Amino acid sequence: MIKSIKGGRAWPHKNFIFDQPIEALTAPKSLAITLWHGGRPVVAKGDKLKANTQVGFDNTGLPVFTGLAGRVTSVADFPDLVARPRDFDFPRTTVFIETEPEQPAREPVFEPCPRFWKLSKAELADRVFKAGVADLRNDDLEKYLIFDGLDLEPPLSTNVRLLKERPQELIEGMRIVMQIHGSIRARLVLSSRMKGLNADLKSLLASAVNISIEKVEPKYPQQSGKLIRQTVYQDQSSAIYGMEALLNVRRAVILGQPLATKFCTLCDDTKGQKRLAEVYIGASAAEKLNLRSQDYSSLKLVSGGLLSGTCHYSLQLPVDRNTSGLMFYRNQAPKENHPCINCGQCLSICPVGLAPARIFSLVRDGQNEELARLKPENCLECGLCTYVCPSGLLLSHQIKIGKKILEGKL
Amino acid sequence: MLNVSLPPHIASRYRLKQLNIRRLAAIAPLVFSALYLFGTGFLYSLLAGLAGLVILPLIVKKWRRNFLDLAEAFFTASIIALLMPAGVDWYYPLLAGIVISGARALLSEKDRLAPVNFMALTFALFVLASPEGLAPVYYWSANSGGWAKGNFYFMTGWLPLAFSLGMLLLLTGRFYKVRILLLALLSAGAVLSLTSQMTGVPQMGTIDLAGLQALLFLSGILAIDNHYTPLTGWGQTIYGFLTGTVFALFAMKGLLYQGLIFPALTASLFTPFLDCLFTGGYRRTKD
Repeated sequence: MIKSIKGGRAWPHKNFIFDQPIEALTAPKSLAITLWHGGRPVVAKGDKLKANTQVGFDNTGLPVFTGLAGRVTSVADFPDLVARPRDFDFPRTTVFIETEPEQPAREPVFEPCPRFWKLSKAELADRVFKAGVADLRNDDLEKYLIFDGLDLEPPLSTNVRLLKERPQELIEGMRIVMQIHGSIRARLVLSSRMKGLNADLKSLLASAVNISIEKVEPKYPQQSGKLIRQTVYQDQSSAIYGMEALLNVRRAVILGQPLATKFCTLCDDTKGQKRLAEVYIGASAAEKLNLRSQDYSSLKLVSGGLLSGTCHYSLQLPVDRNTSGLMFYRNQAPKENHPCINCGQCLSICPVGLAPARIFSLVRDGQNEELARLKPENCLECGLCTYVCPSGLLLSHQIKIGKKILEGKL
Repeated sequence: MLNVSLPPHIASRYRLKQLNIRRLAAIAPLVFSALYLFGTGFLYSLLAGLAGLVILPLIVKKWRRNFLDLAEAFFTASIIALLMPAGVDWYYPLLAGIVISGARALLSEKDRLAPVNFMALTFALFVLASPEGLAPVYYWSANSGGWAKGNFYFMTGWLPLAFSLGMLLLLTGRFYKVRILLLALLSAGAVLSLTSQMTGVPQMGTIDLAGLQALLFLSGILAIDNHYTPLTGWGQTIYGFLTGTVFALFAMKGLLYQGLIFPALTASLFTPFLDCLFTGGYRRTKD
């Protein structure tokens, strides 16, 4: 077991959905596939599309696909649905598709290749790119790899669930990624609390000489890039892959399937429902959560985890490649705040050893020189300081403001 | 339109209100013992302190929500009353309450409650302003242990004090601050023992069990309380050491029995400085 981070918080299992199977795909009536701000569509209004057809390129140049057959109803800018000032709104180029009621099976876009080890590194990277998974066509990729099997932020539970349900596929994905990176060493990081899962994976990985299992105490935000590199490879430059990314790489290379679906944690606090599902990219939150019109004034829609996720103001929010969770929650944030009582909870929980209470007061008082000394730029924005603050102060938000001040953006 | 807020979207159950209720529950054994032992004298002090704490917010802020937390007012009034000498006039705790709530109202505008230990400061002012001044009026040695009644309202004996201290640590989840208590006791003992060895005079005789009760009460209940202690581990360590050393110095002089109250005040004056000193360098990760 490797040494865990100082600070942080380990949530109990009941906050996750480790015991429910991942629900199968269901086809929504419409899709809104985002190409992000600056994306380039390759389809136009009225086009009839088959399943797994490319609809455009996103802002990083990766191809974007539709997972369902249908007709393009429009290609337009769509607000990103995060409440922020108008000047900061970045509308996303979005392809709207009305899906067909009867969907044919998804055909592969490339020829399936079960014997992936026969392909060269460049061929593998090319397939992964063309499937819209990631751009790995770089010669100087990291040689050290971290496979992140942790689920630490409630209620996101995809990594653990995929490890339980599809270990063989994930191991194939790991081998492909290692081949692309030319990697000499990879570590699969697992929670020390998942004893049964760890034993199963250990036996499965027995033949894989270069992949070792590392157990860590499951403390959020251990899986943030900086911290996991620090604990696993002592700050050595390394690449990190989540379980879903590995599955997508495997699907692209072995099955020839592009990235068109996403594993999501779906929660509806009003009904007390929590589930995991594979959903089509572009499906709307309202449809996935089966929401009906009601009084939403005390409710909020969160995309991502409950600590670092973003609130959106409309139920039309589409699932995109970064949506790890969709949650319809009652507002649990503190309604009132009080002055700091010097309890020191924020200091003891901060995983990077910052002093959020001090930074809070320095930002408020405009003491920028002293603020620079406290290094707010090291903040991971995990939100734990705000979570624990008994006075209900928005510490993490104030640290973000501090960062912007030091960067000269405010 | 949905509700929108900044992350995180959940909050710890441990809010200020719960903290105040738990603190009140923790100090209850001491309060009830004081009521049982001192009767109406303590009750009047308690009520006067409470009135002092409530009056100002009521008049100035006209009962604005969030401004007055009754649990906190009860807790602070209990501390004020416990710190008073037995048989004190009712207007002392009343004035103490007004001073504390006034100082808090002024400083809460700046979101800062903790530069000075108001309760210890107020009490120190009363001791200095009292007709007896610094003279050793209250002989604590006569009331040393058990359930014995002392000259200060907090001197209700070891059992209630230990019970309240334990409850405070457990209920408020502040076990990490126990280092203050331990260091205060250890450093006080060390200074006294060292002086005794160097001078050959048995300094330990100058402090009795009642004095130790004072140290426990102050460094335990006041110092473990969040408001007046430093944020960081190092800051708390120095705070504890400072409290114990100052206590030992007062005890060695053997003149100022009331002076034994001062260590927590003296140490809490350093709290902002210790916070500045250690939070700046409080970083574990590499750049």
